[in-house]
Amino acid sequence: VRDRVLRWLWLLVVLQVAVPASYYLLRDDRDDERFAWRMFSSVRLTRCAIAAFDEADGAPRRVAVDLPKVLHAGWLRSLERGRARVIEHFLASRCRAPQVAYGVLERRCQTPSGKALPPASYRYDCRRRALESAP
Amino acid sequence: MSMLERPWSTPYHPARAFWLLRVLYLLLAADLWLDMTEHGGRYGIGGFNVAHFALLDAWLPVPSAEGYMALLIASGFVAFTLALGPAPRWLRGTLAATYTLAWMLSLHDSYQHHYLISWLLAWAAAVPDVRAEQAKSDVLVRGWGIPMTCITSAIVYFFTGIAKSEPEWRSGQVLRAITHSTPTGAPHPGKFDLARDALVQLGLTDALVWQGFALATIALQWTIALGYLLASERDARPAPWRAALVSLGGLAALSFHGLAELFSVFEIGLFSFYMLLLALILLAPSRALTPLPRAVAWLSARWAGRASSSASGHGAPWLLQLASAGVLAAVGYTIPLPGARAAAWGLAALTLCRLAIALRSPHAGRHRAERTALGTALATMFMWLALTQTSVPFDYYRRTAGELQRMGQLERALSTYRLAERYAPRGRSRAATIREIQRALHRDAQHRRL
Repeated sequence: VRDRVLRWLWLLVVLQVAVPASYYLLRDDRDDERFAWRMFSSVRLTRCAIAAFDEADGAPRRVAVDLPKVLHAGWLRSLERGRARVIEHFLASRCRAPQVAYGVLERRCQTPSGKALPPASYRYDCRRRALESAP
Repeated sequence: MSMLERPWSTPYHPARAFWLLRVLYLLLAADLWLDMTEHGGRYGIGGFNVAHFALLDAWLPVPSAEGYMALLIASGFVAFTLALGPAPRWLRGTLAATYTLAWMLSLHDSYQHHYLISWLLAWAAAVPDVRAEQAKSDVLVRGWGIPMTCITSAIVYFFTGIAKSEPEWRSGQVLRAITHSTPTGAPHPGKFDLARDALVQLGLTDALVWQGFALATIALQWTIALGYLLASERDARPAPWRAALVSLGGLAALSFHGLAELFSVFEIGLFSFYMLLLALILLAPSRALTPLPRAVAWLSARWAGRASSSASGHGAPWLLQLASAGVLAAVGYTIPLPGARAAAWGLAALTLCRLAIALRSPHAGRHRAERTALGTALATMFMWLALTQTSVPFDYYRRTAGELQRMGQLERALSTYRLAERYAPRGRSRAATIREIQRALHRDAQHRRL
């Protein structure tokens, strides 16, 4: 094996170790278990309920979004699992509706042993095009 | 040989390379055609999509069902032809890229084992394309594809063990949830409850039994990891301790994935089969892998002899391949799934490309062209069988229709359910659902008139 190929092969090994290791050492987002070889982990089996709302500027009440009518069941599962990019894309997509100033998603979860986790709330600012608050 | 070079240059038995390419690609074809295609209808529904990486979101349009299905159908076809051989490296690399693109396109597909298969396909491109005659011999071969496959597998099992070492896993709570455990004496016992009850009868506490199951699972993961780590040197440097540890890893993998499949613990498609076959090929003693290549070599020699005696001239394999490309394009029109025609035309073009490459060296490539033509013909036949004579079209349309109905898109749901009904296997008719949607649409129309 030539030296250059050898370097690439070892780099690939390091990469394969570094990617799953980064889940434990670097990543803040515990819900994103992709590439970490955490099949059937306790995070994966956490059960969550979600609710989404549209908020208008200055309006006294927020309007509940009928999630099963606007998203495929697969995306609902991604929201339940707390996939950050799906949450951000979905809330950003709410801004297309007239008069919506903020998209909000609330998520309540329970671990496999039945312990309730603190509720999480995500709020997307349509004007700034950014998540204003996330857990 | 330096220590850094040793893992990649250590030779291994050719039967491992022979089986790895055959089995991985055949299983992949089955996975793509029979399992993944039925979920293709979800792509593009509602115009919403999030790819695995922001870069892909920026570069690619929202994937459509047609595009995604074409990618799966074509990838399945290429995998099937590679399994039968010949397996040129450029085509193996292309398959690794198209398969990876298929799951990267959307977070709809975030199965971790698809990510693993992408690695395996990338490494498979570096495995020597050993023929059956060579696989039955004991002359060892080299190539970094198999050692890297062993290292990747070891890394996967090592980290899977780490993930299962967290407190909730160690306590057995997660295993209880996965196996749908119920208290002793409940009417519908979980998958491991029979074993749990037997151990409780022996005097162990319920909690201790589940902890034991969980710890045993972790131990299995790390035993398998160790087996893979030592596996690539097994043939070149036989030592009793190494053979014992690798075999132990193999037995651990067979028991873990065998039990998981037997009890349907994980319910993740063909994943257990991939891992079972990988363990058999990479962790079993080489003598267990040679009998079948002997039979394949014998059959292949007989077929080659018959083909050469019946061929009318040098043009026969090229003509056969040209005809295969035509049949392939036509078959696309008989598959009742979106994307099938585009896939078939693309594959026909690929077949012609392979023909053009073979024509550049007509004498050396004659036998290769015969094998390619035979592979193309068989892949066309099996693709047609898999996508028309199974429940795939029915499952594809009923899944899509069900989702459209749930989202309130009743007219589209109705037309899709009608398509599903056309391919419904006995006992799975959706006639009642169709009537229900028709009534709902009728009621809606009346409301509008009022």
